[in-house]
Amino acid sequence: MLGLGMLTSCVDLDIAPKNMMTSDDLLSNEAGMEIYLAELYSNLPLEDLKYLPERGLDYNGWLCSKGIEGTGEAVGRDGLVRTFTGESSNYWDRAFPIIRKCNFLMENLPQYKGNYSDVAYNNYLGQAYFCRAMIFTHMAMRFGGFPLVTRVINYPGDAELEVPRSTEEQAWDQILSDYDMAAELLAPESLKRGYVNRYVALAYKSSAMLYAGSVAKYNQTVDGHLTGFGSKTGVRVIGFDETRWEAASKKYFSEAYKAASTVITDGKYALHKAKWVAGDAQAQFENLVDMTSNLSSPEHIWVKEYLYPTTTHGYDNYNGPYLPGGAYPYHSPLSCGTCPTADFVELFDGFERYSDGTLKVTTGDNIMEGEYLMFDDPYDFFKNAEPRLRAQVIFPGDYFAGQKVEMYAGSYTGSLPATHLMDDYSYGQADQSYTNGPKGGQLVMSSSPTEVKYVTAPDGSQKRATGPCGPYKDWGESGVSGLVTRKWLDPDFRGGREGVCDQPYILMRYAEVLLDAAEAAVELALAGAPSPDNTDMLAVATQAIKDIRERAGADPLLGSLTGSIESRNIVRKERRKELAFEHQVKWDLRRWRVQHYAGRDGFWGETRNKDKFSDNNNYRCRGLYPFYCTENGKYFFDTHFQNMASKQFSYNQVDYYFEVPGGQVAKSPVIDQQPNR
Amino acid sequence: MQKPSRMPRLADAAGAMTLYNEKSRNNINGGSIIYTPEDFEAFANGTRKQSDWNSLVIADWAPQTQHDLSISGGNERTQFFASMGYIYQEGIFKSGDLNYNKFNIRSNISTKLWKGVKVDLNIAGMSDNRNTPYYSSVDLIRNYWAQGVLHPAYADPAGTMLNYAGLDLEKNTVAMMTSDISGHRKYRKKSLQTGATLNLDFGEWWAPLKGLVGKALVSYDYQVDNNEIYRKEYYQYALASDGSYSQKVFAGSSPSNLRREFYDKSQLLSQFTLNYNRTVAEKHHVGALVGWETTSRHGDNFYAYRDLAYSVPYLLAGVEDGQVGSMNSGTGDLYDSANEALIGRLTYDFENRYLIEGQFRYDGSSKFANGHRWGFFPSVSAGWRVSEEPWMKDLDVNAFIDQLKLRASYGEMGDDGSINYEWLQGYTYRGGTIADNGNYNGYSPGFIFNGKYTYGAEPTAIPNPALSWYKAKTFNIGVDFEGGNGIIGVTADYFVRNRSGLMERRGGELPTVVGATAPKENVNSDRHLGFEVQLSHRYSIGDWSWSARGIFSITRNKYITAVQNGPYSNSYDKWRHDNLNNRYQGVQFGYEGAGRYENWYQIWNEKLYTERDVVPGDYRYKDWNGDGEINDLDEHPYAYDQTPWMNFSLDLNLRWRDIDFNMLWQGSALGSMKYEEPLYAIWGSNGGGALEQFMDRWHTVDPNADIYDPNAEWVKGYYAFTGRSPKANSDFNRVSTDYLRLKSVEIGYTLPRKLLRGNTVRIYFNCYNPVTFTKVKFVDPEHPDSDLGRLYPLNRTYTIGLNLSL
Repeated sequence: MLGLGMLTSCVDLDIAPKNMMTSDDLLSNEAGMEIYLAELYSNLPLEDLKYLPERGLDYNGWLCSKGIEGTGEAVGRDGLVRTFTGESSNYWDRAFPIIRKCNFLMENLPQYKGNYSDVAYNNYLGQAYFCRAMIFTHMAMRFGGFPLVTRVINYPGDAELEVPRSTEEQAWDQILSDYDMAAELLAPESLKRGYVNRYVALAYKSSAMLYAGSVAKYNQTVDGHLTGFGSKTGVRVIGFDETRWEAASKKYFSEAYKAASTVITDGKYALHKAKWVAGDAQAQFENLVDMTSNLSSPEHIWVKEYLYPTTTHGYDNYNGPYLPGGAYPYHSPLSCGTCPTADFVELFDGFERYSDGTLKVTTGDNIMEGEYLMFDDPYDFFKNAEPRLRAQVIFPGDYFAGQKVEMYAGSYTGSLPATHLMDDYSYGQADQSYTNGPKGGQLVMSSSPTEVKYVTAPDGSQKRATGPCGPYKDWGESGVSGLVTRKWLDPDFRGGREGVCDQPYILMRYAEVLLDAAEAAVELALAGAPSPDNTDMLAVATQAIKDIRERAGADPLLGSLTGSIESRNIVRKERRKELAFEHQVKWDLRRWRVQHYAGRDGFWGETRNKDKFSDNNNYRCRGLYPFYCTENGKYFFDTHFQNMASKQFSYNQVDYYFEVPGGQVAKSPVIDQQPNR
Repeated sequence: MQKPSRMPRLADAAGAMTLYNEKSRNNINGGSIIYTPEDFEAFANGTRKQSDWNSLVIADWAPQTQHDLSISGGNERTQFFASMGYIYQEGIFKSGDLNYNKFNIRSNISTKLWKGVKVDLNIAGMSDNRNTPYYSSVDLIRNYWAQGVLHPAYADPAGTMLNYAGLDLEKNTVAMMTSDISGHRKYRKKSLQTGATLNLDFGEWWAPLKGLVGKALVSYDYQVDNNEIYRKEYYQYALASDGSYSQKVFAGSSPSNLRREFYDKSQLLSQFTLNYNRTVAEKHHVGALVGWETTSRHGDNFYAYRDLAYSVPYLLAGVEDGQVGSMNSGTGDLYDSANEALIGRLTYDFENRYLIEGQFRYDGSSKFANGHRWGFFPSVSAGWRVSEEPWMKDLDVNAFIDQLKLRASYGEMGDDGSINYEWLQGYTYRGGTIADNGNYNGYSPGFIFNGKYTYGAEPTAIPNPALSWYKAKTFNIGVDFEGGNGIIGVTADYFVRNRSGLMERRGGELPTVVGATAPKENVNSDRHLGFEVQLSHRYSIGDWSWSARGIFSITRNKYITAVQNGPYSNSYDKWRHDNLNNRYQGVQFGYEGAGRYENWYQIWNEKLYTERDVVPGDYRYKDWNGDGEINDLDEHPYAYDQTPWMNFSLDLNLRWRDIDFNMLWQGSALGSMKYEEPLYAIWGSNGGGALEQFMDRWHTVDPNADIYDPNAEWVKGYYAFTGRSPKANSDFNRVSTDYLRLKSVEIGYTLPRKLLRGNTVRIYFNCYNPVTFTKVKFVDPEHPDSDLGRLYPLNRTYTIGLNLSL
């Protein structure tokens, strides 16, 4: 017993940790570098299917929708439907740890240069520059100037721990330099699928420089010129100096054009046309649906992949249509999170219009005149619609996952001719609901799938007052605008718990590069600047728009683009149509400075009268609601400001630059708050 | 038998619809009702079924049983003690699938091997099973309240098809609480504790060493957890308009999945002491002890889960796609740590009158870096038995005093906290724990390269090699008094404990631009102080004897330094939000109420700025800072916190011949709690969350009246009109948790020994928690605010039992 005691009496207090790697383990070999890069990439500000602008970059895929942040693309039913004026998970707090990881790699990898081939070494270094450039871009887009941390700050050790904010111009210059380094170091082919390559870097550079150039130029159009000096450091933290903005804007547009043009001329990528057939709208629609899921497409420059069960998202759990009675597992657990608006539909070709450009739903020249146009099936309203719209939005009466989506908001039991359901379609009466309106007594609308009402069809049979797929008037989970999104949904979704979806997301595609080139070209032409490389800018721009329109099945571009406001608006409108529901539009609205009231005429790319949808800082979107008419058994449409769970957006010119978190300003003697807050 | 006490119940369908209609009418822009008189009529005449969810989910009674058997005996040389016990307890959910059973066994043997050598061997084992439905009690209660009563539990009249129509997220509580339908979680734990001690009495070998005793103790404890978590896919139904039933799988249950976990934990303890006690010159008693202790602890685990091809709780039924095998790498699951300590003690007393004792510990821990592992912690205590003083014996009062002792002590103790290699710089591989939901709602710790998922590695915080023990310095002073042979006894104590060196990060000082986590340092401190008084009394007369003991204590906690707080933008911000630097705890900030608006005149004549939609019955607040507005600048310390400052208890015993009676009262004061979520307002949708208590509210006599009509007649109530809630941190939502509870009352009868030939049999009847006096409504006053009011309810238990001693 004493022997046993002696054995146990001395324990070793020197116990090594179970789960710790050294930086040597990570940087000295390829397997370790892959782990390090996975760490960097997993923390990048990628706006994929787990991103909601309102929350910020916390990678929480719960209730994520696209286009509901006041861009006019879509609306929803929750409190999440708000303009992008801030994030609950502030990016300022999140960015610096990742910047430190990038800097650490840049400073320490040279020690291990001998372990790698030149190509591999340059690639790793290039990826570090790319990651830092992307993070810096997101900081600059939100805050303007910010602390440019380009070295690892040692604590304790370094004498100077604080880094003040730079000017906005210095920030964009640093971003330009980082992207250039990345493009130079990275090889044209990715070392592995998923790693970035030179063209990814050039595409993102083009996008970032377009942002910088637009801000430099269009910030001047905002009252007060949205610029000022920080109170602690006296540095011009937001905006550009009067004397410098023009040269800066030309420089950035040139760089944007050059980068995009290189991607175009090197010819590695092309628009996806695998199923496209000229003149065949059905084929063109199928081609576009195929584009978002076909991983072997030449259009994809960088893809965010998911894999069940390890890394998933829940996009179909929240955004699928409400389709009872089919194989598609509707309402799993929610549905219709993203509801496109009538204003969005009005960007596309293939509809009859009133003279003011809005959708024509009556026989007269505005919604108050004439009687409603009647259709045998709601889908007939959309039968000539641009295929690109059909690929992005599920029309009432169209098919999804092999099932017909029967949507109509209610039934009209009044007598023919059926005329305007409301007496006042102006902004001031936006909150009035159909059943509380002047013809409420002639409308039958079911509240929810369990409180179903019936009306009598002309042949005497019972018909549901509201379509089985919605939109039910008191149940937002069946849609709130009469339309449901189609883009990014997986028709083969088999339901189950939340977080079982793993369809990929296209982070960067060739169409975006074409649009970047076109916009930069037109802006340079407007500014009177020459082409920065040997290509004919406006010819490239014109061809880009023509190619995109052809692929989309839209009306072709007539003539060529010139250095004019009309051409610029053509490119802007095309961008809004092509890149819808890809988290691009909110950044475009910011850099064009068209979201606040004074600039809002340009909100849609094409010029539209802002007072039709705004009330000073506030603005709203419209829905497109089908109704069934019991007297003749046909359907008609009404457009009205969002009628269910109605949302009002608000935007102010102060919002073009986010507030620096108060805690950061209080904590540091050198971090300035925005001068106008 | 257990009975859930004070659990809130759902109101019936008519009540729920009334409340929801009121909530919808509560709109100054024009409200409307949701449920029409036809809906009320449909429930009243039975066209629409309503299920009695209250009785479908919560049982009125739940059984509990406990048996213990112990045997002891021995002779001069060898003594033994053995015992076995069994307990079974069921939870309050009607399905009975929440239950617990435990079996334990113990065997202690002590034997004298030869002169001066004694060996003890103690072995104890325990095996328990905790079975719960797949969903936790909190989830079940939350769902049961939130769904309400307007939608039935079963779609068919026979009650065989579970309903989903109308239920929020299609979650049917009856399905969720039944293991046969939705799956289970079984936690099975087995543990073994062994100890062997060798006692050497050196005095028996060599007389001069009399008083010197040595002891060697080795103990090995082992615990294994073998858990099974089984999610079963199930179908629910809805009655369609044509009378048929449509079937739908409950999305949250699909596909079936089984997870098996295995944890293995062990601890090896050894202790060697030499203890010397001697009386010198009859008056002086001295003692000395020196010892050496070591502990080493080890923990490891693994788990695996698979989606199942068919629903049986075995991994053999799994499909390959998505199968995972991994482990939990948290500090409580995967660990290897060791401690060593040198201990010593010196005691001296003079004639059992003046006592003094000094102790020290020299502790080392493997959690710290080399060079910072050891800490020295001394303590000293002294006592003076005044009642033994010769001059006391001369006083008259001495006949009354049995014992009077004054004592004081001061000591330092160390704690190594729960830290994880804060002195090393490195990276933690993120492949540690795999999320079972694909991290769809959070950060995914890696990226897909070449079609495969690669995990990243997270840098650790900036290291601090100097991190070491934190200290707790405790001072205590007290007096013990007993007199009149137990007629009165008083014990009073005052204590202060100052802790310093608590581990925390100076997050507020390290600039964010550095992008790293600040190192953990021994830098925080706090203080606890309080006093306790204990009064006792015992007496016997004839066949009667009784005793009583009451304890009363008040404790305060003050945080002194908390470096993790800050920085603050100005002194008001610091006053309002820094609750940890140099501040006593136990106080909450909020709004003070100033009554209710009794009628429209009060509302129209209100001088303060108020919202335009105020109605009679609404809450009025005090404008604390006098600026004419009620806003967050009016928040000030106004209530106690949920940890009460004062605790008291009273234990009463009474005996008459063979009958014994015992009562234990317990209570606390100077504390308060806030009603959260479902107890604060209606929390649910589609008729859900309408608890019975919300029916006691201000409302108009006519259910269709316009609430803004000054001529409408109002009925008063406890809550304001439905849809109008008080500010969450105001005293309308806060209630004092002062309570007095009869914790247990027991009456027993011992059969006359003569009948049983020297054996003893006692029958008893006991009730736990029979009655509580408190202002807290609807929940138990000891409920903390956590679990948001959905904590498992306190049980009132009735027990009948038998003690048998042979």
